[in-house]
Amino acid sequence: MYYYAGRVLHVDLATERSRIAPIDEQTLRAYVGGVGLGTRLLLDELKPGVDPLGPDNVIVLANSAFAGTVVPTATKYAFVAKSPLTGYIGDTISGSFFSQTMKRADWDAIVITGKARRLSYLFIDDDRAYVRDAAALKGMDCWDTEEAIRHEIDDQMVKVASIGLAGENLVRYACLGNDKGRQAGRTGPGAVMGSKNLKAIAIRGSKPIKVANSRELFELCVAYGKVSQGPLTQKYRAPGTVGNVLTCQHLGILPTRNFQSGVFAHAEEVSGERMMKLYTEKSIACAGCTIACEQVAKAHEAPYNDARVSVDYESLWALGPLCGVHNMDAIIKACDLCDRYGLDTMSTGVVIAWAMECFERGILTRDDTDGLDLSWGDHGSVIALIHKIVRREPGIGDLLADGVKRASEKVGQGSEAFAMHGKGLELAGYEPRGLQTYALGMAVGTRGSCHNRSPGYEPDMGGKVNRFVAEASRGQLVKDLEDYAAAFDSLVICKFFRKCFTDFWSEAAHLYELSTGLSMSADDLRKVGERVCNIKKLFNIREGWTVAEDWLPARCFDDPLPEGASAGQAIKREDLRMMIDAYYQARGWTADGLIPAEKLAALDLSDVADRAGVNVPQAAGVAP
Amino acid sequence: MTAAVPIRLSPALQQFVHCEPDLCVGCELCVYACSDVKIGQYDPTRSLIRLIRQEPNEKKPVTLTMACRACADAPCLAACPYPGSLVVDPATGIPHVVADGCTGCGWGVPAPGSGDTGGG
Repeated sequence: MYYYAGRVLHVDLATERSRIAPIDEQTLRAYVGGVGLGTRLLLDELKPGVDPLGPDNVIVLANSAFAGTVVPTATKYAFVAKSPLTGYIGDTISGSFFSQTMKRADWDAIVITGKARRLSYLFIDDDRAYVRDAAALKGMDCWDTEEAIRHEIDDQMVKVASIGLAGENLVRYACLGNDKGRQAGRTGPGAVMGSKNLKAIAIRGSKPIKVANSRELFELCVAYGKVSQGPLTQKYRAPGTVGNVLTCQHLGILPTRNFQSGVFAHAEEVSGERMMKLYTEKSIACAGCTIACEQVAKAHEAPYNDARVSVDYESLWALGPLCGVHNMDAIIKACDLCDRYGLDTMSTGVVIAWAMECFERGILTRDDTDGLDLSWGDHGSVIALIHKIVRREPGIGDLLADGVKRASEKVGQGSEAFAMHGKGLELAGYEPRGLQTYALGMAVGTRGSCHNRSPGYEPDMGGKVNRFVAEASRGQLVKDLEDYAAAFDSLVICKFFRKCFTDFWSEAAHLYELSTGLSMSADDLRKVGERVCNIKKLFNIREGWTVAEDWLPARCFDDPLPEGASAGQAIKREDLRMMIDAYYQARGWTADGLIPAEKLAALDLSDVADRAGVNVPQAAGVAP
Repeated sequence: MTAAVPIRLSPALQQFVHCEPDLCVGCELCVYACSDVKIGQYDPTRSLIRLIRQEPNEKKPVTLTMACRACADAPCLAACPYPGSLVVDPATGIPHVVADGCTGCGWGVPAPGSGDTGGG
């Protein structure tokens, strides 16, 4: 007896037919849920080499093993598909009541294939699935779409994940929003939805949720709940993740004006502390979360005073300092617009900042920008660009809607050197030049440069390692951090909860046993983390990954940071090469970054690789 | 934050769940915990605590949980149109639904505080 649903819902949008497939205990234990289970199911279902925005891409929603239980911060789900931004694995996580309701409908995962004939939404009513007409929802923003669907079904308990205009218009970094404020944000899940004519997924679940040992789980989680409301997580509640603005500023790693500097002269004006004092109205939590990191901010000044949205560090950074903007009301408005239109705030900020630098250098002029002045800090232009991007307005809107990699390739003239992305995914709000461990993680990441999948900034910023020094030992460190993050993303537990564990591996494995009734040791869970990192890599290898793509934008090497606590820092190409080699070695991969047969066998991935048709070299250190 | 309508408590009952909306973050864990204790499963529709959650939109977000306060002169009892289907236990002051008599009309539910009427 175990407490998964043991079943997966398959829906084909083209034929409007669905079926239920069983999923066995062995697969569930090996991949747990979330990103791990989602990637495994995607690899099984997706044909190699398909167009991510074509009808053959596949969407997998995979739930947390703890969804809807008292395990704190663990009611989350993963959305996994081939990314239209990177062409590689697009694994992204969101949470809250949508995840809880998916669990109450009793699905471990939902696999969506094909393309609907007209704009539609999928309604999963416990055991049944319906493809319903969404013509009336066309052009509607994410929040209004949720309400409109609840109104149509006439049930407030229906939970909805939807796309806005950005997803409908196939902006490559469009996101998926649920519960009015949670997003599966990165790698373009909204565009995949849009390409399938799928406006939203609505779920109604009416079943109770059971766990293997509810008494012990309850006692344990009450204790965890108390810990997670103490000093270990205080920064997420006050001022919230936005507190990172000044933390990064002091370390000289607050990427400013498209990574031209690590110091922002107006940082105090856009600090988390100032936001908390003047703009934050209330903290709210995801379903089942004891931390409550969402700080809802309200703009005050016209013309932005209609904006009210939860603002986190990455969003504030990308639409603020990175674009030279220091008007807090405008930043809140920009975040509000992105959430409603269904745009990833981080990619949006990076691509706009790139356009601003092109404008500064005369590569783009007013003739190219529809007359907009893209000078640093012009918040009116940032807002105007967001409106143009989601509509793919001919010219600048359409150009930027494809992400910074494609835009810079189109524009050329050296703009690729300051297009800040890894494998097509725009960088996050930490400066790689001042954080060597983090920089390695950004270079080798399977979903592109992502701080959530490779949290190397933590040992760098926390002083566990010298953040200015490149060493071979960072290879093992980055490997361990990736496995650790992959375990969180597969269980799924929010990473903001990480410090509440004394020994994550054994404690999380114990929570898993109490919840699911399946055995799991600390070593088993470690292996899950490693397996998930490897299956994601396997996916990328099959989709044509080349070793040259494990690299950083030219700016990271060529332009030392000009000022602040990280002044003079840059990354040396030979240093990065050395660390990447050490990383491949720590992973047990070949010198070319491929997974040898023996490694696949050790992680029980041989069959998976075989079925997926991946080219496998025989031994580590030997090129295929 | 003070309640708009002061509620007089049943003298028999000294404890009940009270929520401070300014401190509540809307996580729903108390709702899970209640259903876990009462029915051994997590089921928000069978919990005796209910979450009210208005996400940020045009208005400031609101998060609030409600549970029975076992009021003296319970308004739900007065609202119930089927005599005998909602009764107060004299020992505890807690209102209980009598399954045979209740038609599920819902009249008792909107009344402030709701013992079994909140539990459905």
